[in-house]
Amino acid sequence: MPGLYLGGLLIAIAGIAVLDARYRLFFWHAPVRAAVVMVIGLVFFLVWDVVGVHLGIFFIGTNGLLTGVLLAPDVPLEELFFLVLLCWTTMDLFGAVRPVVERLRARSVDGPEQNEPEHHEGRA
Amino acid sequence: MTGSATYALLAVPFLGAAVLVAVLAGVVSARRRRGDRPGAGAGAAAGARGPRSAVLAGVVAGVALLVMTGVFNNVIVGLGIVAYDPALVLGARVGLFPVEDLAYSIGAVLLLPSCWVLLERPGPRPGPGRRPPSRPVRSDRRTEPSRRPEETP
Repeated sequence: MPGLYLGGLLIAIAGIAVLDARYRLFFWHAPVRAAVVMVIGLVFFLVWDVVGVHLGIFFIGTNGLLTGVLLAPDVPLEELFFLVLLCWTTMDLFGAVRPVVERLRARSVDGPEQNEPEHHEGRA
Repeated sequence: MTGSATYALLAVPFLGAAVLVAVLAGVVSARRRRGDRPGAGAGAAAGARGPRSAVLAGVVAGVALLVMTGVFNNVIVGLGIVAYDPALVLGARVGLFPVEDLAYSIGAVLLLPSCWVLLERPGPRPGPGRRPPSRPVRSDRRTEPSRRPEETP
C-alpha cells in the first residue's frame, strides 16, 4: 500500500512532537535553536545518504509502501521524514536525560548533609 | 571502491566531523562554566551543568537511540523499503540490517546535542537577555508533582 511508510513516519513524528511539547524538550524548549540544529542534522544526513546512494551502497528495495516521490535518485521523500524522526528523537532523548543527569550530579556535589528535602525523581 | 568496507569507510568522514563538533562543544562548554563560576549560591548546581553532564546525557541518550534504531531498521529492511549491495557492506548484521547503519545513530548523538550546546546562551544573564534564561525554567517546571506531602513526617 503506497504511502504506508510515510504514514508510519508521520505517526512516529507526531509521537515525539507530543513528548517534546509535554516536557519542553527541544522545539518547545528553544524553537529557534532547535530549528537550527534540525537543519544542520538534515543537511548532514542527506549528504551522507546521497553519497551512499551514489556509491551504490543502498537503494530503494522492493516494496509497495513508498509514495514514489523522489528527492533524488534512490532518495525517496520518506527519507527526509525519516531523518526528521532520527534527529528529533535524538534531541528529545538528550533533552529528557540531561536535566536528570544534572540533578543527580548536583545532588552528589552538594553532599548528603546539604541535601534539599525535596525528592527529585527522574521523569524521563 | 574498497569492496566490502565501502559502507564502513563512508561513515569515517561523517563521524570524524561529528567528533570534532563534539570536542569543540566540550571545550566551549567547559570554558563557559569557568566563566560563570563565581556565582556563589547556585555554585553546585552550575557545576552539574558542565560538559560532563552533557556527555553523560549523550551516552545514555545514545544507548537508547541505538536500541530504537535496532528495532526500526529491522522493520524497514524487513519490509524492503531499503536494500544494500552485499558486495559493499562488511556482512556483519544486526538482525536484518548491516551493522554500519548504526553509524547514523552514533553520528546523530555526537553531532546534534553538540550543536545544541554550542548554540546555548551562556549562563543566566541579569542583563537584557532577549529571552528569559532557559535553564532555571527547567527546575521549576509546572509539570512536576507537588512535593509537599513528602516533606515532613
